Amino acid sequence: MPLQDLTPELRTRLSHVERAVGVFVVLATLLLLTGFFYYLYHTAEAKGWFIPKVTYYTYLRTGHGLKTGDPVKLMGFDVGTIKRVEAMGPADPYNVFVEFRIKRPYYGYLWSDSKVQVAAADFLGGRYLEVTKGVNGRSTVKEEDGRMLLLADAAKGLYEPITKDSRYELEAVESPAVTDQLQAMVAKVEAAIPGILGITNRINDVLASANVTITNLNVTALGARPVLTNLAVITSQLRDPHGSLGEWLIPTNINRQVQTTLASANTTLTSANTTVVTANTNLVEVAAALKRSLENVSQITSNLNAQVQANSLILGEISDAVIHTDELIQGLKRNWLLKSSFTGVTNEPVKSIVVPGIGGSR
Amino acid sequence: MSTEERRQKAEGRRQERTTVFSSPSVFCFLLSAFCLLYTACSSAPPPPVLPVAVAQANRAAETGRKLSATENWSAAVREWQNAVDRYRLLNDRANEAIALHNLAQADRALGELDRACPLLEQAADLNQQLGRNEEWWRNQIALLQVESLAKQTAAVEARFAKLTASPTPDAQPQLQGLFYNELGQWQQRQGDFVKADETFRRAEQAMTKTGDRSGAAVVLANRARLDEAQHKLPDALEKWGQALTRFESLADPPGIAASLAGEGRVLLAAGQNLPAAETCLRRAAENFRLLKKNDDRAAALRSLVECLVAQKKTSEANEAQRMLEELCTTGKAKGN
Repeated sequence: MPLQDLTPELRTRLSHVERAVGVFVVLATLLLLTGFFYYLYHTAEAKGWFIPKVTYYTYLRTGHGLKTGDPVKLMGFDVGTIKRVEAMGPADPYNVFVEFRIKRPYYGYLWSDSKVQVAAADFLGGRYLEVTKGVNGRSTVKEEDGRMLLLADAAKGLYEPITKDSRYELEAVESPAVTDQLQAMVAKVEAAIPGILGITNRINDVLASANVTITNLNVTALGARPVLTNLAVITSQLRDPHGSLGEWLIPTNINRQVQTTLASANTTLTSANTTVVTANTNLVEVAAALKRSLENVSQITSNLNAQVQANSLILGEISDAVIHTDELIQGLKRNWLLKSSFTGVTNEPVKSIVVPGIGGSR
Repeated sequence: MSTEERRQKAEGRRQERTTVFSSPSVFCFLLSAFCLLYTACSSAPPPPVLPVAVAQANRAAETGRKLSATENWSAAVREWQNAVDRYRLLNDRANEAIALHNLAQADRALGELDRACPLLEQAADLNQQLGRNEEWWRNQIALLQVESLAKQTAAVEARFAKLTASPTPDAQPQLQGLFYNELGQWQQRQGDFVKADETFRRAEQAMTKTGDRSGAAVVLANRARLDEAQHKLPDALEKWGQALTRFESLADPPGIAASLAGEGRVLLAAGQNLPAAETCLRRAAENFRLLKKNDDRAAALRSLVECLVAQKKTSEANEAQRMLEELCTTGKAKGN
């Protein structure tokens, strides 16, 4: 109906309604905007958009396992994020440039002697950055009169105001990924195997020589019986006042032979000493490689433990989901509109069983 | 139609539309939609949870029922005994009587007739105290069956005298059918064939009235047996054939075996088609062996021996006789 066809009373009432609708729409819009801005503020606060951050960078041998957005850790806390991972030029001595931001107050822990450690994160070659707390250097960031200053010269202790392009370099201590470490360990073990085999061969030779020696000794002992007889003669001759012990025991030719034997024994002992030293060195290397392997295994188990602990609630959540689904279905079964769809076969009440019998065996 | 008329018509249509979508209509529509949604989504409150002891007793009874249905009698005895104990602890005498009755039936199936009788008496006493007449009749019929199996003739006679004096459960045609079936067999055993025939007819009517096809087939088989006893061989043969068809449609192995044995016996008694009689009796004997019904198997083997002798199949008759003697020896050994 056109507005001009309405009575004045109706027109007045309609205008009141229109005004009320307008007020309602304005209020709703205001409420919506307020909610949106509150959400925006809350999100910004949660994501740390208002927290001041300082940019650092470092150079690495490889960017394997690192990507933009990955967290940077300090003493186990997430204190910042990686902002850039880029390859350097072909002629550059460094391979990869990594830029990351550290938020307040954690940049206060970073001093000029702080390091960036690149640690293995998982078995799949993932890595993460961990910055270490400074010990005896200068603080990389200083706040004075509300201004933030970045260390420009650590030796002189000079600071410069932080601008958009300011960044501070931290030295990197890069450990290879777990897979690389394992590969290196396998390579070392492979390299050590010939040494170990050499040792075993030498030991085998020594044992063979010992066996021959013992055989010879046995022959010697058999041949020594006449010598004993001779010794008895010698001792009887020693009683003779004309005899001389030195002349009897070590004649000139025997003295020369003894000297030759001692020289050869000395050579043998030197050789044995060398063998033992080599074996010792190889054993030390093997032990070191084993230690590294055990450390890696320990790291793997700790990662597994962390993953299991992170997912400890999953079974409870699945159980809750099943229970809630069951409750939902049970509720639907009791719904007046839907319950007819669920009328299945139900157990009839238990009653006394009697069946008619065919006569015969009675 | 002039331009003015068209304008007026369009105006009228617009007014109509304005009226249809006015605020009160929309409000009413929304209100009714809300009411509809609310009522459609509302569910009845969940049923009250049964106390644990009651739930356990009911579960034991339900398990016992399933085990009895699958003829796992030894396990059924344990479950029914469990149900009896639990209902007794709850002082639920009605369900205790049912559990006692079913425990007795499981014992009967295991051949423990001495244990079954007192249990059924206990159940009957409880039902009598509670005034549960139908259940009491069930107990009495089961007692009749057990006492007949135990060949306690005096007890059966006394019970029939007591029951025939009592008012029959008119409201329960099924119970009537069961009772008349037992009564007919008793009358047949007493040699009163006329009364037995009449009683079986009443039993068949009652079974048919309740739609109990299995019961009706059993009564038909008993009528065939009655005709056989009266040497009405053509009638008996026809009835055994009908009974066999019914039992086959019901997939009832004991009924099928009994019908085969009956058909074989009648053919043998009539002296006609002895090979067919032999086949029926052989199949019946084998089925009774599978069903572990040794008495019925012995009867079938006896008839088979007669049939084979009549056909002059001496070696096969000797073989059947050997099986019969072996069965009797085993039965006696077990009896000892």
